[in-house]
Amino acid sequence: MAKTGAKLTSLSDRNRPYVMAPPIMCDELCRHEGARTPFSNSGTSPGLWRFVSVMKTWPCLVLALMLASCQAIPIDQSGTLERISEHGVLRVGMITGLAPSEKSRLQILVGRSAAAAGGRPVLTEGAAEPLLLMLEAGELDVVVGAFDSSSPWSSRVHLLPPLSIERHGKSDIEATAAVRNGENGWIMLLEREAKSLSGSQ
Amino acid sequence: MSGPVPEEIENDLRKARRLAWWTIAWIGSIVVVMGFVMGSSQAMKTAWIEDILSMVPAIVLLLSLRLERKKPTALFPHGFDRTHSLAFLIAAVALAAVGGVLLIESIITLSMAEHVTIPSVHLFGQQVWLGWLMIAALAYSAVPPLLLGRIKLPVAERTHDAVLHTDAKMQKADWMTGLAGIGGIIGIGLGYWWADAAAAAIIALSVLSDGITALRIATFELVDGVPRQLGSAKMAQDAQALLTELRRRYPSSDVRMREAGRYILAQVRDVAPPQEPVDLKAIWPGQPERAWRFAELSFVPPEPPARAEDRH
Repeated sequence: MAKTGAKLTSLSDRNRPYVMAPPIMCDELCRHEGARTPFSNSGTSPGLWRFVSVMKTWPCLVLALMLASCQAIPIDQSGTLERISEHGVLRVGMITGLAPSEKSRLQILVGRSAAAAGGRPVLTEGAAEPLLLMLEAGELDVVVGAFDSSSPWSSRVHLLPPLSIERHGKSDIEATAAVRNGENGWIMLLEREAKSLSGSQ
Repeated sequence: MSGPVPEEIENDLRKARRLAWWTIAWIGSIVVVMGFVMGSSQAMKTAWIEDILSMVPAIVLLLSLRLERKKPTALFPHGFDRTHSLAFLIAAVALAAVGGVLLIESIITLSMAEHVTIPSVHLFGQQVWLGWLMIAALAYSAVPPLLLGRIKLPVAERTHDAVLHTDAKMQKADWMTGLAGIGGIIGIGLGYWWADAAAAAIIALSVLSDGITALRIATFELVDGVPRQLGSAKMAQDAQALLTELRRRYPSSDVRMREAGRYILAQVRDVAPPQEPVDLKAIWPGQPERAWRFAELSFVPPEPPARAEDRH
C-alpha cells in the first residue's frame, strides 16, 4: 500500500475557505478544559465527553435543538467532521483499479467534500479490503472506489448512493464512497456534495 | 354470575368491544404495512413481532367477552366467567413478552456498540436528514395508542376488566416506545450512538415491570387468591370492605373470597345456610353502582367434628 499523500486539485469553483461552523458550534460553547481528546481512534469515545459537557450545560442542549434546522444536527458519533476541520486533513482511501472516468468523478467528489469540511485530502491508495478495514477502525475518513452493492461490507460501513452503476451479471458494481457507520453529519455533507455533483452533470 | 352480564356495565362492555376492534384495526394495519417493508432488518423484525404481540390483549378480550355471555352448560355448570381470568393470563404473558423482547434487543444493540447510520434524503430539492422524518413518523404513530389507552382506562375501571386494563397498558407501552424512539433519534443526531438503545432499554424495563405485575395478578386469580386491584397485587378495596361486612354479619365464620373474571365470589364457611333469600346488593358495602361485582355468596355448613379432623 503506497501512501502518495498527493493533494488533489479541486476542479470545483467551490474551493472557498468554507468551514462547517454549525456542527461544532454547540461543542465550542460547551467545551470544558481538557474534557476531550480531539484526535483519538481508540479509547473513550469523545461522544461520551461531549454528552457530559452537554448535561452540565442544559442551555447548550436547548441551543443544540434550536440549531437543528441549520445543519447542526446530525453530529458525528466519532467526530469525523470536527477532526477534519481541526487538523485540516481529510484522510481518503482510494481503491485501485477504477476506470478513469469514475476515478476523476470520485476525485472531484473528494475534493469538494474536503473543501466543504475545511480539510486537505491526503490519499492512501490500495486494495479494497485493507482500506475498508482502516475505515472501520477510524484510520480513514472515507474510501472511494467500485463496490458490489450486495457486498457484506454494505452493512459494516455506510455506502453512499452510487455516482454510477455498472451491471456485472446479477450484481451491480457501484462507483461510490464508503464512510464509517454513525458519522451522520459527515455522511450528510458527502451526500450533499454527491447530489450537487450528479446534478451538475 | 353466569349468562347475561349485569345491565349496569352493559354499555361499557359494548364500548370495550368497540375499542378492542379499533385497536386490532389500527395495529393490524401497521403489521400489514411493516410486513411489506420489513426486508431483512433485524430491528424491523423485532418491532414487527412486538406489534403482533401487542394485538393479543385486544383479541383475547373480544373472545372472553363473547364467551362470558354464554349460559352454563351441563359440562360447564359454573358458566364461563373464568375464561376472562384465562384471557387475563394470556394478555399478561403478551405484555411481559413485549417488554422482554424489547429489553433483549436493546441490550444486544448496546453490547455490540453498533453505531447507527441515519443518512439524508432529498425532498423537493432540499436535503433533509432522515432522522427528522423518522421523528415525525414516530410522533404520528404514538397518537392513536395514546388516545386508545386513555379511553380504555376508565372503562376498565368501571367494568373491573383486567384484560382491558392490560390492553391499555399495552397501548401505554406502544406510545412510550414511540417517545423513546424520538429521544433515541435526537440522541443520535447529537452524536450519541447508544442513545437509541438506551432509551429503548429504559422503556423496556417499565413495560416488563407492568407485564410481570399483570402476570402475578393473573396467576393469583387462577389459584383462587383474593380479588386484587386493577394493575396491582394488593387486595381490591371493595373486596376488603365486603370481607369486613360479611365477617360482621356472620361472626365466628370463615369467610373466603375469590375472583372469577370481573366478579367477586364469597364463601361463608361453618355457618348453616339461611332459610330466607339473601339480597347480595343489600350486603354490598361499596358504591351501589358497583354492587354487580358481588356475584355469588355460598354457605358451607359446619362439618361433624370427626370428618373435619380426618381432613386435616
